[in-house]
Amino acid sequence: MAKKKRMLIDMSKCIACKACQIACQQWHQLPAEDTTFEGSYQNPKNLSAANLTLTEFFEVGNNGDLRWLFFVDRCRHCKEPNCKIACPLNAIAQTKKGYVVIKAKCTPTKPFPDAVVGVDYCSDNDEKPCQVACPFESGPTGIPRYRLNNGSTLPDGRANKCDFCYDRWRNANLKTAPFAGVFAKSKKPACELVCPTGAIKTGGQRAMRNRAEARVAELQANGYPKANVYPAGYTTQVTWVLLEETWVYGVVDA
Amino acid sequence: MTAWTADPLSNPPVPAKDQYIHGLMCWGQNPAVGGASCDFERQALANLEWLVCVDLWETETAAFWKPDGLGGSLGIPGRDPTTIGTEVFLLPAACSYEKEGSIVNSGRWSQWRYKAIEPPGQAADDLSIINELGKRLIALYLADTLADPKLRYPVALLWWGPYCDPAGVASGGTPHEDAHGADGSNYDDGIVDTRTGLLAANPHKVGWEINGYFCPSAGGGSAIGTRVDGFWGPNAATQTLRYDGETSSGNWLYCSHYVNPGDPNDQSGYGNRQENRGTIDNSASGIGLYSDWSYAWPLNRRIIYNGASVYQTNHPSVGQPLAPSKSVISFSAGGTVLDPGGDVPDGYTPPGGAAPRYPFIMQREGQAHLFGPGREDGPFPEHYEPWETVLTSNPLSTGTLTSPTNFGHVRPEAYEHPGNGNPDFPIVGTTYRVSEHWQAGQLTRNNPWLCQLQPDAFVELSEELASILGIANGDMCELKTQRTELYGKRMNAVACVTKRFKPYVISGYTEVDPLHHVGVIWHFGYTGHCTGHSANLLTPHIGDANTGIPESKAFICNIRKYPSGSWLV
Repeated sequence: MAKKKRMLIDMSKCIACKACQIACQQWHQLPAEDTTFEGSYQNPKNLSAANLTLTEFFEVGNNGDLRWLFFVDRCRHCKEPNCKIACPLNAIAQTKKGYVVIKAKCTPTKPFPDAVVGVDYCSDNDEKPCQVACPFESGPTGIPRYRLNNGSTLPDGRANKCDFCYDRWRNANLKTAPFAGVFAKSKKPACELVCPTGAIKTGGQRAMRNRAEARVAELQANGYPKANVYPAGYTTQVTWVLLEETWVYGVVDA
Repeated sequence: MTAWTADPLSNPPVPAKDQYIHGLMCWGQNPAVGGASCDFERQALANLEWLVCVDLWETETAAFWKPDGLGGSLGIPGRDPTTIGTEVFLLPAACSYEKEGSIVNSGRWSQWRYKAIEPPGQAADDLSIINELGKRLIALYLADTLADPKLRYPVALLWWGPYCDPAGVASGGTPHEDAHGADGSNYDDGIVDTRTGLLAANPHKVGWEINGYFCPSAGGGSAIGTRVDGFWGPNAATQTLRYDGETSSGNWLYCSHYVNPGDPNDQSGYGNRQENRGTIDNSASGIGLYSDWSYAWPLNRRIIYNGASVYQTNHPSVGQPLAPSKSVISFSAGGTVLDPGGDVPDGYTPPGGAAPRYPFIMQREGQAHLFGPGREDGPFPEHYEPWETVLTSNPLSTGTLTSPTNFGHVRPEAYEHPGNGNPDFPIVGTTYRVSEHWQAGQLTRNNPWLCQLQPDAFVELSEELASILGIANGDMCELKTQRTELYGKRMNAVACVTKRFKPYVISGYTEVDPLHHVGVIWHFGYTGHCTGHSANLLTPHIGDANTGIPESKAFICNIRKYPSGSWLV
């Protein structure tokens, strides 16, 4: 039985440099979106098929009590993924390590061949079953995305989301030059590899949980009484440490 | 790098670009975006006969002669190439991952870095380009026998290589040195890079020359080309830099960074201490010296003025650290024997030392200063307002409002002062960077991923100021300063209305009528994947009195909603 992995994203250490956003696009070879500055450092505006992780910005408080808070949004990798159950094509899988991955057979814009006429929930609806089923809304829909922010789709048309870089953990290419000597680092998820402050860490479920709880205790004892772990109850393989209550970040516990 | 300079013979100085500067070479520099008052710099470039840009892309500087295509409310049509006579050459350069060499950080380390991949196309490393240029210039000056010898010889007789070897005597170096071509005559090894057609330059030879070497007269002690291993040594056996003309060095601070093969402090095997990669904290007290990682100038000293960490000559504990748990250096045997596990000592006087050498070796007295003579703006710290200020009197001092010694009055019309407290410019402006873009933007504004993250030039302003001017988050705005009105190019930027900016209540301002403040990012220009107006359209060409560092972080300006909002009054 493979040990499940947990990713810990410590928002008290994040400096919102967005390096994780670019590293993710680079590893997955996703195109840049055409954006404009609309009054926030958050760009593009929402998660999309080309931006599987997104740094979100919040200014809360005011004079003398201002906080510029960041949230690195992405798929939570639920222990019991509703999206997997909802997918009519069985295109969403959960690996032994706990990663929830969308497979290549996802074709949300093509009619489902065996569908009864009129009830092809995937291709007939703009909001796809996996998006409806996702308990963690981000922006307009649940987290899986098959569109870019401008409404277009990628050439393969399939839905996309964080896949925990599962193809780095078992990637034979990363065991050869020039990565051989740094394999231990190279096999980490791309976002973790580039994070300059160590805000993103992956490891064993229990170890990361202990780390999260120790960090929350440390923050609470040092001027951040509302520091907490999100999502509560460790129902997901991705866990955040937040400085403020969840509603401040516009996120909900499932 | 600017296209003018002061002419020492004329008073007042004149814009020398018009008469004296014929050409300009920009190596990875982009003054058309990064220079203060950049539209003035763009216009000054048009007075050059020729301009060479060595860069990865066509920068704004290389494209200064083109219309910027960005528009703007003053309706300036932009550059008209038919009126510009400058001949522009754009040489394709290699980026840092495509060439071997050293990089220096502000912790004084010089670290070696290796080539990861070949540059694309005919792009060449800048050292190979300089090598080619230097050799061709030398040949031209050599051939020009009619030229004024005072002008001809300094170039024609340049020694173009790692060390001066007039007789052509080989150094007798190790095989590795031979592999790097110890012929003493060139920075290349005579090998043509078939991709570029240029001789491939060898950065190791530059290291050798910067480090310094012996070039003794007949009968001198050390063999010619032998590298010095320091600029100062405690005993005569040390092969240090000399003041009798028998040694040469490109930079005394780097004496000992590229030493002779076999040096015990070298891990590379051929003397390049910048390649040292020891990863163990070799300090006795665990303070994290890591002295065997790369090289720190001078003399691989990790903490400068560390002699100040031990008791001095007349103390009973002479040579012992003041804080033993954080010992940087320590001496035993009455303060004369350096204990292992410490840094390279800096200015410590042992008992009976011939001449006192106090820790602060760069000061005449060897002591730290509170009274600092030699500064252009006086020996004591003083608050001066920026050259442009909204204030009319200095709130922290009864003296002068702005520094009378700042760099600046080179070209009078460039520096026409708007007048302190000018009601046309009631707002304080500043410029800064974002993490998504680098400097003048060529490395990042040509990367679509990074353009996606920060696609436009923006201006940050407080909710209070935005409310007064009717500016909403995301509105296009327009900024003006004395420069934009003079050169005809205002800055357009998208509004970022933020709680992080707040009005100030300072000298003469009130809660009801506070001082407002805006900030703009300066990475943008008109070439590359994402474009925008440059913030340096706004900034003044003023430099710090001692260093000349531009004062582009503070100026007075005004802002309105584009194209027809009201300015702040």
